[in-house]
Amino acid sequence: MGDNPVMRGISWFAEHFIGLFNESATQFAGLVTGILPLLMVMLTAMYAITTWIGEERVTRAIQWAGRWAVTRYTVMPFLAMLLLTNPMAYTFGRFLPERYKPAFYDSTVSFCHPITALFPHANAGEIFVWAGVSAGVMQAAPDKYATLAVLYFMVGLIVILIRGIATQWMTGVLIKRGGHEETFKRYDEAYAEGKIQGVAE
Amino acid sequence: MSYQTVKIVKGSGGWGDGLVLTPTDERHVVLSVTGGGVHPVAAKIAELTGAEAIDGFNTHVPDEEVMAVVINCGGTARIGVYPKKRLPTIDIYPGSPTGPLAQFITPDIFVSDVGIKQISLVDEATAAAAASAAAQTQSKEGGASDQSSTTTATATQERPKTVSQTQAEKGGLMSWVVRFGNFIGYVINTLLSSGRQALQIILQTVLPFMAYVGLLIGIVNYTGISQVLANSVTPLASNPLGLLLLSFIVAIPVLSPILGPGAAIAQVVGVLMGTQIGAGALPVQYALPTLFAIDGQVGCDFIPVGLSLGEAKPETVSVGVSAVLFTRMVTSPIAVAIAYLASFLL
Amino acid sequence: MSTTLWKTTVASVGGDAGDMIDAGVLILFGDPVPQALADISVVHTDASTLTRPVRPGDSFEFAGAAYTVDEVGDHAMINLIDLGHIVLYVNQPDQKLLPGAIKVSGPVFGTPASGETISFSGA
Repeated sequence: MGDNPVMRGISWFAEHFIGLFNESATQFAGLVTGILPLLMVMLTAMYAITTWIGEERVTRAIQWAGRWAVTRYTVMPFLAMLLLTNPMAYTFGRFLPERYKPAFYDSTVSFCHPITALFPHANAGEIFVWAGVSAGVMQAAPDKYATLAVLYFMVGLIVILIRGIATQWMTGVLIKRGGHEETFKRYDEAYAEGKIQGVAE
Repeated sequence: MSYQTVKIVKGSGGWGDGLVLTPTDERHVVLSVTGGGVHPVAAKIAELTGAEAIDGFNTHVPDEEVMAVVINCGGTARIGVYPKKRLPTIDIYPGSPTGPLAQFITPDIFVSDVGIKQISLVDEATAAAAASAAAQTQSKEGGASDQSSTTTATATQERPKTVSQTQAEKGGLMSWVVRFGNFIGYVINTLLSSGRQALQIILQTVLPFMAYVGLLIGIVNYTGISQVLANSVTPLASNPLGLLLLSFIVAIPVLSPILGPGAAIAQVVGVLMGTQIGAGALPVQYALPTLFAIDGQVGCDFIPVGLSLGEAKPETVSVGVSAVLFTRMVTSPIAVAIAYLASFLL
Repeated sequence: MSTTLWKTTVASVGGDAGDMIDAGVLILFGDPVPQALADISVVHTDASTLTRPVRPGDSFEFAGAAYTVDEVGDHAMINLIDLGHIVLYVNQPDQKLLPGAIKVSGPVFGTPASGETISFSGA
C-alpha cells in the first residue's frame, strides 16, 4: 500500500498540510508566551499611571513644552503619546500656532513606534514594528534586549527633534512659495490673541 | 463600600442647573460614553463618590444600575438619549438642548461643559447642617432621653453619612486607617480597570495580529521562503548603505502614503527582519538601524486626518502634507544614519 | 474620478432609528455601542480608516442614494475616527450646525438594510 503513488501523494499532502499549521502554531505559541505576559502587565501599569497623573496636569505640561522648539519636538510628542496614545495624541496640536502644526504631527507620528519599546500601551495596535525586530534580538542575544529598547527610545527622541525642525523649516518655505504668507500672518495674530480652539477657560 | 455625595456644576460655557449625585447599592455606576476608555471626568466622579466608572462602549450596564452618564456629545445623539431615559447626564462639551431630542434635555437632569474642576464633594458643613437640623427634630420628638443632646447630635450625624466617613472626621488613628483604606481601594480599583482595558486591547488587536503573524511566519519558515527571503533581503539589510537605500525608498512621497496604513507593512517586515536576526542571518547590531529603515513612511497616510485632529486650518493641511512628505526623504535616511552610529553602543 | 474616503457596512438598524431618519436625522455609530444609543442609530461594523477629513463638496452614499456634503461640524471628524460616530442632517440648511454633525443635501433618507454599504467619497 505504501508504494501506491496516489496514497503516497495523499500522505505527503497530509503530512505537510499538518506540518505547515504545526509550524504556525509553534510560532504563535512563541509570540503568546514570549511577548504577551510582559505586554499585559506593562499595559495595566501604564493605563493606571496615566489615570493617576490625570489629563489636567498633562495638558498644562504640554502647553509649557510647546513654547520652545527643543521641547516642542521631544517632550511634547512624548507626553502626548504617553497620555493620549495613538491616534488621539495628535489632538494636542491644537495648542500650537498653525505654522507649527505639520512639524508637530510629523514629530509625534514618528515617535509612535519608538515609544512602544518602553511604553507599549501608547500604540499597542502597532506593537510589532518593535516587537517583531526585538523578538529576533531576544533570541540571538537576550542580554542586549534592554539596551536596544532604551536606544530605540532615545534615538527616536533625537530623530523626532530633527524631523520636527526640518518640517517646521519646510513648512515655512512652502508658506512663502505658495503665497500663503498673509493667511498665516493672520493665524499667528489670532493665536497671539489667545484664540486657540478647543481650550476651555 | 462607602458612598459619598458630589456636586457637579456647569462650566463657563455650559448649561443646566447642576447635579447632586449620590450612589446607592442599586445605582452605583458612572457610565462613560465618550470613547477611548473611561473619561477623566467619569473617573473623578467615581473616585469621589465611591461609585464605579465603566466604559459604556465596551461593557453593557443595565439602566437600573446607572447613577450618571458622562458624554462628549457633538449635539444630537448622546445628548438626548440619556436625558430621555431620565438618567443624569454630564456633557464634557459645552452643549445646550439641541437636536431632535432637545425636548428631553432639561436643566435638572443635564449639565454641560464639565471638567474636573466642576466636580466637588458636597460641602461637609452643608451636610452637617442638614444633619443637625434633623437631629433637633428628632430629639424633640424623642422627648426625654438618657443621652445628652450633644451625643444625640453626633449620633444622628452618622445617619446621612457612612461609618467610615464619620470615623475619618473624628481624627486620630482611626481616621488615618480609614483614609489609608480608601486610598488603597482607589489604587486597586484603578489597577483593576486598567487591567480590563489592557485585556480589551490584547483581545481585540494584539492577539488577532499575533495569529496572523504566526501563520505568516509558519508558512514562510515551513515552505523555505524564509531562506529565499534571507538571501534576497540580507544583502540590502546587512550593510548600512542598503539600509539607507531602503529608508529612502519607503519615504518617496508616492510610495509612503501607500505603505503607511495601520503600519501593516512595517510590522510584517519587522517580524521578518526579526526572524532573520534571531536565526543569525543578520547581525544583532543592525536591529536598531533596521527599526528606522523600515519605518520611514510612518504616518504618511494619516497626515490630513492627524492634522485635523489638531484642529488645523485647511491651508495648514494643504501646506503640511507636502512639508511632511518631502522632508521625509531627507530625515528618513538621517534617522538610519544616527541609529547606525548609536548601534555601536549595543 | 471619485475616491472613497471612508466606507462601512450596516450591522443593525435600531428600533427607533426609523423615527430619526423620518425627521431627516441619521445617526451612525460603530460597533460596539451601548444599547440606548443603538436603539436610535444605524450601527455599522468593519469601517475603513478615514483617508482624509470629509469637507464640503464631498459626497455621501447611503441606502442607494447619493448626497452632497454642505457643512462639517468641528467635532465631526474626531467622533468619526474615535467612535465611528457621525450625525447627518439632510436638507436642513436653516438648522444651526452642531459640532458633531454633517449637513448634506439630496433625496429624503431611505431606510438601510443590514449588510448595505455606507460611504463618504471625495469629489
